[in-house]
Amino acid sequence: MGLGEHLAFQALNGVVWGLILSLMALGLNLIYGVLKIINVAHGGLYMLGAVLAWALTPLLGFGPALLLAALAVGLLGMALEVTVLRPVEDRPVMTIIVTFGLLLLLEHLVLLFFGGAPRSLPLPAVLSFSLPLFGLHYPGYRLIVALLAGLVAGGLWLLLHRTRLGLKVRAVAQSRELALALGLPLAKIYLVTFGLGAALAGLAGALTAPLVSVSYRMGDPVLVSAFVVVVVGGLGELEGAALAAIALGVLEGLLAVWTSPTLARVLALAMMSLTLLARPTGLFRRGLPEPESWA
Amino acid sequence: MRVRIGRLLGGGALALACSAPFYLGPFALYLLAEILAWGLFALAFDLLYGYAGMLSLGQSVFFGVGAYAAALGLLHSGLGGGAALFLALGVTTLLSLGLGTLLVRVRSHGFIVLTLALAVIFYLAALNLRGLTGGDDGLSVSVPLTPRWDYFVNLAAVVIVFGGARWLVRTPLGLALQLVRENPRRAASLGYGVGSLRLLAFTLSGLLSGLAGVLYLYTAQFVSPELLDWPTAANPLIWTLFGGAGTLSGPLLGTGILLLAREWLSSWWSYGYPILVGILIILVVRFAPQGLWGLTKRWRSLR
Repeated sequence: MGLGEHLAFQALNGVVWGLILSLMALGLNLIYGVLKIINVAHGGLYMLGAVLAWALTPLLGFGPALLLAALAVGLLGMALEVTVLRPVEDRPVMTIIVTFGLLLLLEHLVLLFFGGAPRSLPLPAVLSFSLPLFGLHYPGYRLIVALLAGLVAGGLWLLLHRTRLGLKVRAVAQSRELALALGLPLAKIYLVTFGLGAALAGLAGALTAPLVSVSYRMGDPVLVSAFVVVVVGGLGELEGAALAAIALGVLEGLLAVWTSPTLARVLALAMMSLTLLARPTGLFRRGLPEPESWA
Repeated sequence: MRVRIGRLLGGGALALACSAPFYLGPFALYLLAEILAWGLFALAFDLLYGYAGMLSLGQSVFFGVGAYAAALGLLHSGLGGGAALFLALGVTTLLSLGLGTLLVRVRSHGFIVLTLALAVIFYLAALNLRGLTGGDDGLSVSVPLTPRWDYFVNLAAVVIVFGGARWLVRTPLGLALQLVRENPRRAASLGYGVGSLRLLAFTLSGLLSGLAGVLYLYTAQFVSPELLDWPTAANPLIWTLFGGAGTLSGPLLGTGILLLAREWLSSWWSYGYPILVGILIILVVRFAPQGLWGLTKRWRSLR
């Protein structure tokens, strides 16, 4: 494989990974935009999606397992929002801490019931094909993942911009007080948004399951990347987060041509973080900076 | 009356701590020495979060760099324990000053995420630099300190830092820091340099975290890249929150209780500690956001 093909291969990998990451980042950012919660448990929900896909595939087949995993994680997210998060929703730092507690719980309950050994989910034969692309044989499943992730992101955009529900969600994101004054059911919108964000994380995890080894700590590095991407893209800016996710994916992929994957990750994270120093409110954030909210 | 009870309890705890080596076995003494080092780390975290209002998920960087600087000083430069300590303190102070200068520009959520990214970057870089850090295997050092002396060193450090912090938070400077936590905009309009105050808090916390890292190294005689990773930085957050953020006794109390609980749980249920901690965090935030120390305050004011 020459340098050109190697670069193309890594760039493609980067785009695929960036699209998966953008599902995570979109969920995280949607939840932040509406509920003003930084959901640290998002990494746990991602991991749970992968674990459920691994556990359900032998029973149902890969496709239904994928859907069921995303659905189950979404429902779990809704349950957590009502029971655990609702009482602390008006205190931003406390929600970070509570969702960190949830992350610990999710990870170690999975460790308890599923064991710590990394598992692999073999792809169904139908999906393990490769396509000739830029003079190399590219694994077809990765392209399917990219396509699905892109479709879901597009679907989310349609949901937010072309339906009444989306209008309500965007109204709450824009101004909680005004939405409340207009009589929008805030609690229900919070619930739906959190469930949607959680389902996106679950789907991202389930889609990744055949590509990586499934284990209880698999969500941590993804969570860190998603955080960086959301903040670099601009908190609450969905398009910004998606773009930043793809940028991080491609950057990491291309850097890995010259250095080890670990070092590539270090450099990519550092480069993305440095942009925050130039634009502390994120690259794509429109309007005024966020008011200081530490309490 | 209240003040005297507090002093009595503090004095009693100190007397118990000073005499501990004379009736505790070697393992219990080691555990206590380790708790003191981690407690100091929690105290350093609380000065930053509880007093200056900056939630950092990257204090592990300074803890780990302090431990590594001292270990490398001992192993490669032939320094003694004291000189290695001062080397490590110098390195962590410079590092926290440098990183702080960049970080205080970014506020609230950006700061949290950047500190988190920083911890991951340092951890992965340390894993990669095998020649310097020993990679996965870490580095072992032998410190010329008997366990008893090591315990006393840790105890002295905690007592001195606790006393210094108690003095600091009551000076005009300490009060200004708390004003920055409560209302940065008002602090700025009153003429306080919010950025410099934050930088000061960040550097001080970094320096003390480095000190805690060195003490941990001298107690455990081992350092590995995991010390730099963000789960290490999340620990003082948990301990501080449990004990009571924004108080000085809270972090020490929380660290002591939770580490003893971990030790006790690990003997019969190895998964128990993280699950317990997960549930505990959720309950504490929900029902006792001021932590244990806040609960005792509430109880005292009820009487």
